[in-house]
Amino acid sequence: MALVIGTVLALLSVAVAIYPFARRRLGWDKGDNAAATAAAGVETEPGADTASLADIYAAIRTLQLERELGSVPEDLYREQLADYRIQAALALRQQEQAAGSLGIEPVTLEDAELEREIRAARASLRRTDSAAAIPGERE
Amino acid sequence: MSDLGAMALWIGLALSAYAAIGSILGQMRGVPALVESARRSVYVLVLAMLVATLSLIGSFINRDFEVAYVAAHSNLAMPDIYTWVAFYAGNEGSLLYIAFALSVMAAIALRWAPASTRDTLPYTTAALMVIQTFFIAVMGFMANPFDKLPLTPPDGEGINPLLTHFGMFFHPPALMAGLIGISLPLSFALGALVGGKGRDEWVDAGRVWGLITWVLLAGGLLLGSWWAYTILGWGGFWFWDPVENAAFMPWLVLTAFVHSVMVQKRRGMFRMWNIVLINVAFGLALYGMFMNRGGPTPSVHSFGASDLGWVFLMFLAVGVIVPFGVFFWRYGLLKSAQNLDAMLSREAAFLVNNLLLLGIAFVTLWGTVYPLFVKLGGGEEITIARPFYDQVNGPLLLALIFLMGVGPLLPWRRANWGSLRRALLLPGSVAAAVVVLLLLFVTRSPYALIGFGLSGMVAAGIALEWWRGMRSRHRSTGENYPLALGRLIAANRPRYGGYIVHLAVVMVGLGVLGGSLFEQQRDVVLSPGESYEIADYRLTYVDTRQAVFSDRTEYLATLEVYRDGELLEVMTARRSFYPAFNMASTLAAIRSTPVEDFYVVPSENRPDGAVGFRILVNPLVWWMWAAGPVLIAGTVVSLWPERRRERAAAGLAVQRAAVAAR
Repeated sequence: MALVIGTVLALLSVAVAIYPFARRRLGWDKGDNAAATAAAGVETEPGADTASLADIYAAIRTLQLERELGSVPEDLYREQLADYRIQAALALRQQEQAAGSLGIEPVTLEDAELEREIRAARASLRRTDSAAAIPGERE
Repeated sequence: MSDLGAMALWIGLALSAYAAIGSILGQMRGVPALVESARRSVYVLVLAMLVATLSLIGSFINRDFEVAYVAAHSNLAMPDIYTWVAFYAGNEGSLLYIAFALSVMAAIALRWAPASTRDTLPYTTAALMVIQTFFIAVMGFMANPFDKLPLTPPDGEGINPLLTHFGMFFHPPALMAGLIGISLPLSFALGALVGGKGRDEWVDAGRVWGLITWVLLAGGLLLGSWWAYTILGWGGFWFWDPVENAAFMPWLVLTAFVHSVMVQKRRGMFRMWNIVLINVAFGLALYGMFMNRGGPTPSVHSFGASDLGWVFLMFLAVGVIVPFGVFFWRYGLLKSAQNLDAMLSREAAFLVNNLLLLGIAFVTLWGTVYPLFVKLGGGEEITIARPFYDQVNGPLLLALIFLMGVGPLLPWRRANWGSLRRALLLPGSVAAAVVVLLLLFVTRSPYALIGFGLSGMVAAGIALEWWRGMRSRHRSTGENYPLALGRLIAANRPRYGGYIVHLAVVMVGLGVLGGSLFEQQRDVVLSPGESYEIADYRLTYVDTRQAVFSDRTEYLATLEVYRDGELLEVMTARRSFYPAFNMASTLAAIRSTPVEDFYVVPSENRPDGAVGFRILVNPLVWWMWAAGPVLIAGTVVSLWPERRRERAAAGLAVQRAAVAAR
């Protein structure tokens, strides 16, 4: 019994290790979006980029709270908010590009009103970005 | 079962080695299929390690004494409930547990790695799998838990009696998982550096895994203290034992890391410093494992004589040289985005907090290794004991508590003395009130006055921050106060989770101060019917019952505790003798309240029926144990992910905030 289970485990290990090569060799990943991204060595989930947007959102909430509580001076508040805005614009763009390349819809919301507001926000950001090129990162 | 376990172990070794080599080669030669294959191998590795783990547990359940490890750590008399403890009671099983824990954490970390780390994830995978390969290889070649005996004995040697305690179900696993878990933030940092990403790409993953590791170590240390308090029979909870220290030091450095990584996340500062911290924490974790496995200092915590010491010493050397080598190689990438604007600022407070924590860690390290240096130099054997640590670490810990109170009240970038004075007015007043009350009614001990005063200041500072946040939200949204508080926490989890953790630290501080400064202890011998008075209590020893088991004889002393003539509780204290180990273990009878613990432990049973007892009254120790769940709750709040709806709302919030700033 032990030998059987051990052999199955060994075969499974070999199969899993070989699978990415075999998939490419046999063309199993054609038209498979998830596999296509995996081919680049990257495992991208739909909505993964909104996770980084969530981080930015959380950071902004903290920033606003700290400003209200006097933990952040006004000059730093403005600097950081501008910084987060740039990060958010980049994240939104990445999200749209990733969704487009995968041939799927960008993450949708349960709340239709919120969805409309976000669409408007994205459009506004695009207009702003086209008016002024997004500068590089902080450094 | 053991044959299957051995096979799974070798399969695991092949998988981890393949994952390490494949990740590097695939990334360097641009073969995505190889990178993907290596990463998927990590997922199968979890299965292999699970099979090996279940095989060993199965061998214990079947009492398969043909397996040398099972024969050495269990016997027929061992209750099945201790199978899990026996699994990691020795070197071999604990290595298997570590390998299993690392495989699970590595698979989770790689599967859900933040997008910012994806470019360098193959290097992270390689770093993790090199560490994993080391542990499995040590098991395979030097400490195989599935090795068989030439002759199967009729019974095993049994589990170490000191391990037959509830705390042992969680204390060693938490500590071992915590120590090996430091590999995760380290590997994300190493991966980023090797991949040429020296900015803040690894910080989110580093923070999350740093916090998980931190809470595992904190929980493990607290449970270990509770175990020592209840079973070792000396009435204390921390002995500054070299192996205890070995888990405490990386925790201290991780504490510094989880604070300073927030500054990097927030302001792009301390980039070099954070790499140094995580490298040091990893080095200290490896040092802890070395001390535990064949290290030069005997301890109640170590696995006894072992020839694995030199292997772990070599791995410790590699584990220090390689991360620091990468750090110096990529030094140029690590320039901070911002400079420290003022010494009176939150950033500076974080820095001083870090220096204090490192100071305590290195004082502890010095106290741990100094006796070894003396011994190696041909000097006589010496022990560095509690007075040294109290004298040196005591003031540093008090300074740390002070900073814990002041730091969160300081603004980022720069503060001025006027704003600091205003911010400290209420917490400072509370501290002063505590000191005055203590002076009037309790003590004049400077340590107690400063310690409790500072604890009051921290608690008041946290309460003030909560109140101000809640009031601000109430004013801006119109929500009622409880709702405003709940939503305030939900909207700022890392910040308010951190405050909950700070409260837990204050609770631990109360326990340490009370138990260390106000403990009353007596050693007495009582015959049945005799009483003894201590503090406000009167203890009456009723009798001792004897219960004989196949592996031990238990002596159960019945005791009555009175205060002001009123019976408070009838308690039972236990002393067990294990002939096979020639060892006695005790289980204290403890009446625990938030005010004080009344603690009785039998030290000897005399032939005439008299029993030696150690009796203690330990004020405030209850708060230490109560801090555990609070600490875990705070960490969970800090780590709790955003909900999907909140994630999606991010874009809106960003835009609104941007509009507000224009």
